[in-house]
Amino acid sequence: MPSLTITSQRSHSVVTVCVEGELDLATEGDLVAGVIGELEASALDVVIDLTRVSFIDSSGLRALLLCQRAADERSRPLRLTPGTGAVKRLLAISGVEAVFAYT
Amino acid sequence: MTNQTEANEAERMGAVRRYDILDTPPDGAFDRITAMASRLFDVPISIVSLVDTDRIWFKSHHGLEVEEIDREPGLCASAILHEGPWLVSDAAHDPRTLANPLVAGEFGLRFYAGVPLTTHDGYNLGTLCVIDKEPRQASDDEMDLLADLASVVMDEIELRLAARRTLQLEGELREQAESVARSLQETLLPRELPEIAGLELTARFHVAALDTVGGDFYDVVAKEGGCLAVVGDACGKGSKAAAITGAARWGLRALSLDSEDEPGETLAKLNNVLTQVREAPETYCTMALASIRPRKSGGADVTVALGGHPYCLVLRGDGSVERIGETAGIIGWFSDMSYPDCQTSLASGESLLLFTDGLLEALAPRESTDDSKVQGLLEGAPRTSATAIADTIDSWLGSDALDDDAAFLVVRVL
Repeated sequence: MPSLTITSQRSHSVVTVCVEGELDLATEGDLVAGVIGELEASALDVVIDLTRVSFIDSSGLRALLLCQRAADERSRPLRLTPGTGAVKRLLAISGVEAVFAYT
Repeated sequence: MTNQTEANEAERMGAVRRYDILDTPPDGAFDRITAMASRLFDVPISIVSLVDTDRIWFKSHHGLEVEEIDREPGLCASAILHEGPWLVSDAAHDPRTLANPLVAGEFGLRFYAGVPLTTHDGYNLGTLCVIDKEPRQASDDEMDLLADLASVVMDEIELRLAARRTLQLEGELREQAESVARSLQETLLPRELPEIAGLELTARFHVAALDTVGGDFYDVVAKEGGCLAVVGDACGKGSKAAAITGAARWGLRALSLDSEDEPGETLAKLNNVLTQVREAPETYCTMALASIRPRKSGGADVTVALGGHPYCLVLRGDGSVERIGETAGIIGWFSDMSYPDCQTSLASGESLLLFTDGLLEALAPRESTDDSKVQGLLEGAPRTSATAIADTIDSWLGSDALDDDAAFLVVRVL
């Protein structure tokens, strides 16, 4: 059962993709599709807010890497708000903290 | 249409068996049809019969307690030898039936109208029939209606066969997928670990789901003066995970042949191989790679490098448990990464534990970010042999299916 909720909030210069729930094999595709959708929908900077992600595994990290690649390919800035929990731990273990920009 | 003769009885019985309906439990769908037929004809009895080799078995019997009769006096056995409906208005005066024990005997059957249940390939399995103990007429309209109801019965029988076949096919496909997964997994894992002088090695693997190839792997490569041990985790599941697992495992073996490289250098080379051959990779793996070199004087020298992987654990002689390994990037996504080496020595009786994230996950709630549970548990665990350590970890994992694969490798210095 996918247990991920993705919502978008727009301000004048930024669209924030808020991710809540478990980011794993079952849900990674939803995040990538959601972020690519926002990259293509407007010229606003995209922020992925991960503070409410309760669980993330290697598939979830791949989703973030694919989002970053999609942003790079479009020469668009992408920033993460990793929070303090599961996402921050996995980014640290995986040695990819420097790959992303943060809010 | 097949000619219903006694000559093709063997083929007809083949068809009866194909539907596998004999002696199945009562079924509401058929009971509703016989109840309806009985009401429409205003007769006390209606039956869905199937003609077996030596008996007539009733799938549904409205107004009659009997579940089967011998084939011999049965009128359904006569009815299935005909194309189309079979009508006996007054059996006591009909030359076809007047001597039949069901007619002449206690039962006193007088009226019989039956329509064969004909399969799509032309075999008559049995009948839908209506029966009365009084003589009566049946109009053409009534016989047409009975024929329509018989087609509904046959549709139900075909539907059940199709459903059963689908179920069977599903089972076969699942079995096939599981067998492919198993054999693929076997090629991704060493059949047995090599014997390394001065060391005792044990690996364990817990699979989360049988029908998918998991991403976890381990391997031990014997080297001059020791061995190289690896535990890894490919991102995702299925064929893509299997592909990078295979590439990583064989790549490591190739890179370590006749090479004096430390683990960090080996990981850097492997990472470059994996990123060069795949443009815009869609998956990656993480691994802990350790070289273990037993010393002639006792104990062993250990060097560990991590690629996007959690630490390894060192089980000390005094019961304490230490982490070893410096965080570095995942393998196979970004090129030109470096992987720092960490050194330690193990005394006789001390062990190195390499494991995948699945072990940490299995021992902590899914939301927990506390990954020190294994370390804490191991502090009290017996360390008399590599097998004893592995058995203890296995007992924590239990026999329930895990959310994620978990693999671990224990290297104990003799």
